[in-house]
Amino acid sequence: MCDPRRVEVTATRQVQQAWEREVERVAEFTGTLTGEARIRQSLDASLGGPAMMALQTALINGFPGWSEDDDGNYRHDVEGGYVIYYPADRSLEIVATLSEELRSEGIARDRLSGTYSDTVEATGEGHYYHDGWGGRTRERALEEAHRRAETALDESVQERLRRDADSAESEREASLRDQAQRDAQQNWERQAQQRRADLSRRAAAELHEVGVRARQAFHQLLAHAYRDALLGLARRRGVAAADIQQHDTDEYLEIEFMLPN
Amino acid sequence: MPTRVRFRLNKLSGEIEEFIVDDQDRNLPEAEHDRIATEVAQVIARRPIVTPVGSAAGQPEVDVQINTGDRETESDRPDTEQETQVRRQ
Repeated sequence: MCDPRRVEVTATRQVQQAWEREVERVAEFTGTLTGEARIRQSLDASLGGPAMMALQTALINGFPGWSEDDDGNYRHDVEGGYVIYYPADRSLEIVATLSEELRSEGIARDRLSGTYSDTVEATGEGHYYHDGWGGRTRERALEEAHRRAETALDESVQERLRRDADSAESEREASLRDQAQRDAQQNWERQAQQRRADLSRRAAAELHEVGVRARQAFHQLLAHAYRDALLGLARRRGVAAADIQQHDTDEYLEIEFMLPN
Repeated sequence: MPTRVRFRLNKLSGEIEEFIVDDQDRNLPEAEHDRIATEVAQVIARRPIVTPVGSAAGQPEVDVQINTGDRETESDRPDTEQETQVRRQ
């Protein structure tokens, strides 16, 4: 047995190969869906002027539970909704609200394709013994080197095709994601349209219960307005504060006085 | 004679359970009782409705009901309207 010898073969291939890749992106869209039912009534036609003025003054000065919104209206939140007073037309609105999270998925698919064209080169090695020991002749080593070079060539081509497809996928990435996002949003809108009507129906069914709570909140404000209006009348007619009996609890407001002729 | 005003509001229900305006003058005509009661009631209600009622003691007695607005169906309106009895003895 002599020293082992090495033979190296370089294979060159002119490649022109088409490739295809299926790509898919999934996006999610989440939003809060709100259903409402409301009733509104003008207080202008029912409340007396002094009581109305006292009510508005109480709101402007700050009344517990009521806060001014960005539009200059006054709102009191209650479980399941809110009650809102509109100074512009002196009306009161009770709103029952229901909301739920809605999640939708969207999918974008595309078939990417291209053609890889290039000259690819790869080398392969083979080993032999000068005396052909163990059957390792130079001819066999050359065959081995050719086989390895071809295998390396195949792998190199596959790798380049993969890189081409990866590159194309990267380029398409942003628009695919956008498309999936749009699809998710459109699906959300479709589902929302169906759910909204149901939510509003359920909100309408809740309106009575919400109305009870809203009215309780409003009655506290109304009591304040009544008291101020009646005490204002007493003061204007010269009734001394000490001659006015007042009993104000969480449940009742009682006022009694004698108006001089 | 001074006019006695007595007012009681149920703050939970919003109902004015009692609103008595007693001018204490038995000799006044009905229209004058109504005028006095209405004048006081208008502090609270824009268009009070005055309804006289009879007295158990046989004395002239006037109950005045004040409705603070036009009625709608119970389910369609915020319960902000009040009925008030204003009684003269």
